[in-house]
Amino acid sequence: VKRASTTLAACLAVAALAAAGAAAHGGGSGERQDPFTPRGHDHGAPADEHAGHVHGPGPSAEPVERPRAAVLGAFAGLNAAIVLGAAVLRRRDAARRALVAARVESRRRPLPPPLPGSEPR
Amino acid sequence: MSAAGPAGPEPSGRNLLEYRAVAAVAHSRLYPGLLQWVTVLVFALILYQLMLGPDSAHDNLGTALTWVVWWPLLPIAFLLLGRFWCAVCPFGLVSDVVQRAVGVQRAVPRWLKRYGIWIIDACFILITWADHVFGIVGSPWGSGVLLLMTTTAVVASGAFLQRRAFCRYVCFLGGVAGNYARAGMLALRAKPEVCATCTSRAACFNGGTAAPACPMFEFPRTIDSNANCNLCAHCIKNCPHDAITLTLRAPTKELWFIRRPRLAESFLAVAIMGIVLIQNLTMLDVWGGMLARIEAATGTTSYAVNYGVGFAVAISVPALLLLGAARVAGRWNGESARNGFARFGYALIPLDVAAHLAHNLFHLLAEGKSVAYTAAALVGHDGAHGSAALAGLGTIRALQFTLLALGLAGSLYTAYRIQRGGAAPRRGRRATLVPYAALLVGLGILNAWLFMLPMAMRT
Repeated sequence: VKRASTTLAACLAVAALAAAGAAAHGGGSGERQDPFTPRGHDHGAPADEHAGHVHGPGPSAEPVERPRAAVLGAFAGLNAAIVLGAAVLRRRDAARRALVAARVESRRRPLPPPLPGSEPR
Repeated sequence: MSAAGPAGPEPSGRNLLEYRAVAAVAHSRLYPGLLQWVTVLVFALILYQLMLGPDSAHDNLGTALTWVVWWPLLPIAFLLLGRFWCAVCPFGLVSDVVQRAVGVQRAVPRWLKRYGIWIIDACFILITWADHVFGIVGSPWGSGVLLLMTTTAVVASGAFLQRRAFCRYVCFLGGVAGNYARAGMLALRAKPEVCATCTSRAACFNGGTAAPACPMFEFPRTIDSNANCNLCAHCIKNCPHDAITLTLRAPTKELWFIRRPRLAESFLAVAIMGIVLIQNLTMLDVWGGMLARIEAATGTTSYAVNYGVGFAVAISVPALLLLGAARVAGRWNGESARNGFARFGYALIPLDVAAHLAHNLFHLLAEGKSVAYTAAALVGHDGAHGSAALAGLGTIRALQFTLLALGLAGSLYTAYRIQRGGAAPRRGRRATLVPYAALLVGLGILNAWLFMLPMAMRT
């Protein structure tokens, strides 16, 4: 439980840092990207132009708001939950295994010698 | 362990582990861990750039490193080195670290073992569809979210399941890698005569003092395919008798010897062909007219729906053509269409690899310099805004056609060897080849024709 708590705390700290970082970043300040015309490609450009794209900033567009804090927070939270769940299961499995091992051991152990005066008639 | 699939003959080439340098690397405790940590650091930089870097793919180093360098080089690596990438993949290390810390080590569910390859097929189709519809490649944000989702799946797998269950049974890239690695030039096998006398209780599979267990659930003693070997060298380290061999072989050789072909693996080969065709098609002028016709047929302007229809048709066409070829061949040799589809689907893999490489070659050679430009911009150097091309269009096209020709030759020869193989019906063997050869030539010509058409855009 201690390890799981530590892991969870670390994950939450990562989530908080990510959210803070995202907030500081301003939630997106780049250009709008046409998803179907990536990286400076113009529709209808002649074939020969495609072997030598001019690398440079694309046409300026409005900034896009990205839900960075929400996505990174959800990512950290979900992964923390998975790790925590696994830690709890692992601890439970270990406890079960220890119990089973103890039972098996107790069955294997030879019986103690009979007490004096308790021999069967 | 490999329960089905193609089986090659005993390795005949020289064992590369007889070379001191190769053996030293394979036995080193730093391999593959050191390389994994390097890729994890690069992955962290890429993820940071994708999530918090510039919104424009044009200026984002994460996008450039992922889609201009890594993605085009990947099929080449699969062909030359098999699934070596999987040994150094950052996701593998993430899974291992989580497993060591909190892993529950549950056995892989039977349904996942049985239907994992279909899940891989479905994931591959879904992700390539989503890539185009949501612009994952062109959007750093989209790429970043995809990586975060994949990381979550890897963490879950590492936390609850044994070994690298995700890499073996779920990773869509692993499915493609497995298919391509079959056509690859490296083969890891064990010496059966040595293994027959081994008393080490399968240290190569279960792990030992030198290295952990095989992460991909492969038992070297029975391994007959490199589709699921990631060349992590754990078995080489653990084997007390040095019975593991690593040999070079002719490309596509593993595909010539099919004992128990799997329908899902053949379907993946067909799906890859369809996906490469539609990806090439969407880069062309003619795509606009085709999209308008699909819009008229569906009555909606939703790109997701209309592209989905085109995508489904593109995947269905090679599948239906292969099914048709199998039916025609079945009339001569009496084989069921299902069996013919499953057996000869593997013959498409060399052409798949070639078409995929030819498609990616454009991105690599026409945009390769953009990586240097974006990296320079990242450290504050602004001024390198020239052409991003590493080669001219004429050179790129010549290389594309050469690759396609080699792929077609490989596919035709593979089909020839499959129809001669032990699993083939005896009746009408020569006639059997005709419909499959016609299909392969037709697909080769179709690919070449698409590369010759004028371009409009790229994906």
